[in-house]
Amino acid sequence: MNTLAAVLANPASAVDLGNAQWEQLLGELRRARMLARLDAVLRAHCEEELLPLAARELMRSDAIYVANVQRAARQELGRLSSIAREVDYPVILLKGSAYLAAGLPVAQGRRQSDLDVLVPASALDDFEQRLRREGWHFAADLSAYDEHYYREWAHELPPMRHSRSVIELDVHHSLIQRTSRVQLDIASIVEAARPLPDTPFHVLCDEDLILHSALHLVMSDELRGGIRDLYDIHCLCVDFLGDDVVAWERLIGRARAVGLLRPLYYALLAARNLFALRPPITAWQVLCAGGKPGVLADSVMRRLMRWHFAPVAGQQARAATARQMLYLRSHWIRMPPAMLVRHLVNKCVVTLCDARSSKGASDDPQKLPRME
Amino acid sequence: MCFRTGPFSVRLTSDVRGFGATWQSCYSPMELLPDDMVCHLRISVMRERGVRRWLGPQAVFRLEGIQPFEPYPLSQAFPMFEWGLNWCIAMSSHYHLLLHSAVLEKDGKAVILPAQPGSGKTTLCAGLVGRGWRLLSDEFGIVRHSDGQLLPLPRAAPLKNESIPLLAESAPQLSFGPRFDRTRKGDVVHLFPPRESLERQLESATPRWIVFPRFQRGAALELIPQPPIVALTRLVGNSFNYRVTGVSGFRSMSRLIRSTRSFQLLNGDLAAAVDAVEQLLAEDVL
Repeated sequence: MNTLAAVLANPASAVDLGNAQWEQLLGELRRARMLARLDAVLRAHCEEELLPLAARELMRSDAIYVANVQRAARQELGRLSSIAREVDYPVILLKGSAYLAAGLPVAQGRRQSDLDVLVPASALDDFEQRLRREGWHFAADLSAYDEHYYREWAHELPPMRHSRSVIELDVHHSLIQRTSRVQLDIASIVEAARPLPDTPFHVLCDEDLILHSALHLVMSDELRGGIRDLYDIHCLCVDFLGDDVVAWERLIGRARAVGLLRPLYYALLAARNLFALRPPITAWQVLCAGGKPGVLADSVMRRLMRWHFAPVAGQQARAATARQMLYLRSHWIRMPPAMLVRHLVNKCVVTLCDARSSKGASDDPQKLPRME
Repeated sequence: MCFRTGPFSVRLTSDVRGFGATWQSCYSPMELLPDDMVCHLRISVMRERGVRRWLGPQAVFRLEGIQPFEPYPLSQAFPMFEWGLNWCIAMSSHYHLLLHSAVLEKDGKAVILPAQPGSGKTTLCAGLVGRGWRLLSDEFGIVRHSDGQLLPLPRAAPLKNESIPLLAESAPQLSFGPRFDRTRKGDVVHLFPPRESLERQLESATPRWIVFPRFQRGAALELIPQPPIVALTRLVGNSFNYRVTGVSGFRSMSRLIRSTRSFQLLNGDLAAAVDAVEQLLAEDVL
């Protein structure tokens, strides 16, 4: 069993771990970028003095780093707020920025590298112009192909950065690639967003917050957020829904209405298996009836997700296989076949050229970006 | 194998022949830690697999199974490990204020030598070790927030290019490692930390001076006092994590500046620069 998954499922059990398990856990935490996150979780569940000193120090170091990133994220939100106040459409915070601004427990110790916002597609041009006027810009080395990819096919603009900020801003006009096979009712999601008190921003309604997190996890390249994002979903469900059958049914009803039953099914399936999330049985049956794929697809995905989210020491090959399969799967869903081939060929050529031109450069440990 | 380096514990595995021997001769008096303890960092230095095993063999550095930078030629496994471990430490110790500086101590008083490109920090550091200063670190000034003390991290100090023969000549009693030609930082020979440095690696030191070295060929020696505000600005720019550490970093930084005297040391000659630092100690009446 993967130690991190076991500890997240039952944080109080951390005090009973032996040294060998801690050794494993610390590696899993760094790979999952969750040292600070677990620090916050354990604070609520066990006495700090009972944990090994090295573990405490590593978690504390990361907590300090994450606090700094969150400070920068709040500053960026402050900068954005003057724009959000001026416009007559909602500026909706997504994912980490929403958790942070709304003060949700899931934001505690959560590491984020960028800020995500959503505006209605009709307002995208206006919002981009305003950002540019206020000092945000695209990366100087953005290639023509990348720009084309974002503008034509993606659900977001290329990443932007304010000249005084250390974090990137991703501006979305939808929650899913234009070309994707999964179709969702974005208008209804924007419609249901609620204003966040004391700020000029909006956040998605509670159900959509969970659904977006599930969608993002299940659709991204190789389930990129990994166990961290899965744990976000678990925490959101526990916080918002708990044992409330009606609330769970509302979530599933909402998933059906906006077309996200399948991603929700996968996310909750994995959270059930890894963190012992227990949706009420009736609600779970309804979700299975509407969201479960065929028997074969279901059993393959179950396995891939387990290998990927919670790899067991000594089974790296499985984790690598799972990652590759999930990568192909995510691309398969997002693009029609011809476009997929074109995209992968282009990426492949770019990677080869990069490897050739940058050989021997940028690999000096002391020249690496400071402080990851 | 688990070992302690200053405030950190490391579990190290390697299958690179020769790397272990170099490591041993560098750190041998150091006490190993029991195998079943919980370490801060799990690091491996392994031969690259596949065709690379025979064709231009390479060594790969991994932290927790993650490879943070490109492999090095197999023969340079030791310098790669040293730089890699420094990088890991810089990433994982935000509960201290970290300066990119050498730190040495004599008679209970420590001098901080902040690095700048071309400053000659490592050369001056090695020169002072040759005159009996205790090496705390060639790379990190670790400032403990609770009391402002400097924590040692005695490790191999990489001397580069012209400074290699200079030190071999002026301080032959010190022990040096094998020569690594044409690494990414030029030719490198490590000054191994003296036994005393390793034995006293848990003993902190009180900061007394901050000396910004600046090497300029042919320059006459000049020791110029730095106003606190200038020293503060320069030291903030020299820190690995000042911004990250927030209020505690600010407090530690201002205490450090208040409790030390700062100088710029322009020099064109190692012996004269070492004398100038020794002079600071001799004139210090506290």
